[in-house]
Amino acid sequence: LKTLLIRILKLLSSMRTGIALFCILLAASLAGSLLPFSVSHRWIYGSVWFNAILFLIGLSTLSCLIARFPVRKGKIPGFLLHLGIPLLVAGFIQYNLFSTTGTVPFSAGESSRTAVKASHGEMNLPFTLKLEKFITETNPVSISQFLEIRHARRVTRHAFAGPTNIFFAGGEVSILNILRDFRILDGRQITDVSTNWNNPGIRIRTSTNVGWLFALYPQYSTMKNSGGTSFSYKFRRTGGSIARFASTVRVTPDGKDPFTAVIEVNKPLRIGGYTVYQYSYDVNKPDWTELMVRKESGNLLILAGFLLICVGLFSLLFVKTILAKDQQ
Amino acid sequence: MPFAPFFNIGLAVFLLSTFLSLAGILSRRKILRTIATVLLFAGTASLTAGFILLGLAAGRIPFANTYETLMLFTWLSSVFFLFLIPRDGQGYLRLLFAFLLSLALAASSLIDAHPQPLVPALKSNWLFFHVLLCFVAYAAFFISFIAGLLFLIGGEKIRMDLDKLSYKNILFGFPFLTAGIISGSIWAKQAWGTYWNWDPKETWSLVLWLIYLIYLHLRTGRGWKGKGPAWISVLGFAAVLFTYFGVNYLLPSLHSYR
Repeated sequence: LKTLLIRILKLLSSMRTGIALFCILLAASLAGSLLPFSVSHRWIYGSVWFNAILFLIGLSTLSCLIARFPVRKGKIPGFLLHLGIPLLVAGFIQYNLFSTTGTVPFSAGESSRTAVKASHGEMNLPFTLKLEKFITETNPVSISQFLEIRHARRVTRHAFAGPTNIFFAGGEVSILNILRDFRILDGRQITDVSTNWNNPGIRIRTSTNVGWLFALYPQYSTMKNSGGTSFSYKFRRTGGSIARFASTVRVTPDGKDPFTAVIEVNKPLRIGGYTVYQYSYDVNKPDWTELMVRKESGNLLILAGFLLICVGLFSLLFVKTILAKDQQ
Repeated sequence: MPFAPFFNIGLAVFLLSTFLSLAGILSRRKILRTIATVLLFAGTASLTAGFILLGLAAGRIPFANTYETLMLFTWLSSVFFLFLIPRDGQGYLRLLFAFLLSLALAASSLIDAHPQPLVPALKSNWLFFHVLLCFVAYAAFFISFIAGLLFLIGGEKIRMDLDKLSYKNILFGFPFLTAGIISGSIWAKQAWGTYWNWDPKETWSLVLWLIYLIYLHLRTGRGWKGKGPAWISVLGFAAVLFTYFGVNYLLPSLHSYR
């Protein structure tokens, strides 16, 4: 048995095994990234064989550490780096096997002390969450409009915000009207149907003609006068995207005083071994949101693994180089 | 003050440096190579000014979208390259570097340069560390790629240890890539609740990490040298490009910040 164990240790700790495992992981990851999300999660990343590869990488690195024990002073950075890998693998195994996740979908004024698990069960929480309000903030919309004039092979851009006269090398052009949401009603009446910039249109008068230009329709955005000068309407909208979404919740832990917390992306709430994240919202239901609750395990091992890998790598890079220079 | 003219000046200067480097190699005139070098310094200064102005125009650290990070990449690469100039006696590295950087700057004109407000997920102090660490690594891998490529096409004509240069840049970039992935993982946990979700960007970062990990193991453990490692440095940078651009534009990802 001892001989067999030594053989297994030798096999696992060999660089050839390590590189073979890395190559398999690389090929599988590459294939998984090109497949649809649901397929790759089911058949690759969530599969037993893939997780066995990850486990074997952890075991192989651990075997390397055992085989090279005790560690000489100069090899400490490398030892720390490699020790980080099995810690990380152990941490992720613990994290995936023993963490529980659920979601709490509710509207303002509603309370919940359970979370819905993805596996159709329920997760009892040691606290009650009451959604006091849910807010979304948007970035201000900024509109920029330009008239691009191409005259005698030169292109000039002129910004405008309202009706105006623009002078260029070939003469003058007037912007007579600006409509944000252009529409023709009853086949003849031109009107602005809303204040939103859904179909921006401008009416211009050049030296030879008058007409409408529409920024969002390339085939109708340019006009030429009889002298060959062309006038193009350019429109740019920036902002208007979601800047922030946040839930204000009243949290009542079992047997403790209630308190109010604001949960948003990058600012989860940590309470009694649970973490509550801002998860999603619905643009059509302004006071509805969904929070995600996780009871986590393995964080300590994962963070220790991360720390050791970073310390080991940077020590290898900088400290060893400096020491080598000193010795020289 | 607008930032774009500084990047355009940078492009013009790097292009000029490319032509002068080529002329210097062909004519064997040292003065041309010296002017090409001075232009590299001028180009880097112009990129530095442009990048600072880009940050001022955005009103934040300009690390949030493809244009901003491409500018970060070109700036970091040009700064790193300045340290290599004394070793590049014949000017081949300068030629290839200036040419490729000009291409990158020219490509930036195809991308929307207008600074956009940050999406909620990016509003975090991790943005600075994560992006900076990753792009320090990408810039080092870029230099390694140039050395590898030159090794493959130039062979023994070039009197400098390109193999070692390529290796040293991978050795330098790898800890930064690792720390970049780790910082991203910790940030993902804070923002989305999981360290790792096998999102295409995450997966390709792992692919990238594994390529360079295999390289370093073969190099340090087996003394692997020559054409093989040069090919890996080229392949590794192709993976960098796919992780950076390919995933943004071709694969559905949580990280598609265009």
